[in-house]
Amino acid sequence: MTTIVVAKDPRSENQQIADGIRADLARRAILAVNLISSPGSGKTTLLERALPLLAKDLRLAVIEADAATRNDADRLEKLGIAVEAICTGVTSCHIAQPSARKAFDNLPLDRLDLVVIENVGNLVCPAEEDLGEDAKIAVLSVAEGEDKPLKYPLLFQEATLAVVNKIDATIALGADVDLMERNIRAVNPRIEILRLSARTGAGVPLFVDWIKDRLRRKRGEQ
Amino acid sequence: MHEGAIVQAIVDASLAALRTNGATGKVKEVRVLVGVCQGLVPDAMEMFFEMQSADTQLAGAKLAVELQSMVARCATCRHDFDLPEPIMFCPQCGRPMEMIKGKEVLLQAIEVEE
Repeated sequence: MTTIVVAKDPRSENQQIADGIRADLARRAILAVNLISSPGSGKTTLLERALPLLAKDLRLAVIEADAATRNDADRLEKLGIAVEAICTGVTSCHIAQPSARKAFDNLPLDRLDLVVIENVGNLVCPAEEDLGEDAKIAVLSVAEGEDKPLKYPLLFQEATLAVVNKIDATIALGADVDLMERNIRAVNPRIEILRLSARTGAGVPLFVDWIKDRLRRKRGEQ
Repeated sequence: MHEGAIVQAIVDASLAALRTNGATGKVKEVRVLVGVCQGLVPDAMEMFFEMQSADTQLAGAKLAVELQSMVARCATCRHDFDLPEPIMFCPQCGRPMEMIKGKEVLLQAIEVEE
């Protein structure tokens, strides 16, 4: 019997792809954010609200992943937003680096300021995939239960920003948003948190400002 | 199908390591370490491994999955703590901690028959 000691992350090739994407974005000073949540938390609705506001000042595109349909891509294209759709297929639960690379290559990167990746709805798998983005944004709706950050800590640990969505439904659902926020901070004391309602639009300008601020910081403008 | 994607990476990396080492024998075991934060189910990984390693040099080998529990280090008082729950505040001084174990996926070693 021979033992071959490998001692490496089997996903290191994917990490190289992610590093390549990050370098391409850095060279062009493009900000990329990766939105991750469970299905139905309101990622697409948030983008429908926020992207038209962002598009007033920024040239942007969306990489839109869905397991089986183009529904979300169609919703955003109706708003006149450039969308690169990835259909991961139902056997895959997240955007992997090779398909992210292909999607970025299909975008006119020389004419963009911002790329928003809307990942497949899933709290577990997309969290661990580095796609070369500047920040992961976790979206959690008040309908999902206050303890989700404790049950699915990886996403909230990897995320720079957590968006607590559907705050307009807080009373109807009897949700404890303060407890939800405490649980998010418990797994990641450094995370930033925004409360908003993508449906009513309340708080969405804060999200828009957060993204613009990240882009300014990336470009060293403040 | 989270496990399927990780297992495919493990299969590919194992075959690459066998090639690099010029090992042509039958593979008995592939050992991996996965952090509990990855949310991977060892039974599911073993099932995927059996399917995805068929028709390769790894066919018939066992995937041995070791789970790594969460360990965090306090950024202030530098103590390490085993974490039963992912609460990232130091039990000793209350300051934020960094996770140092529990998120990894590591292909550790491959056992090959001579």
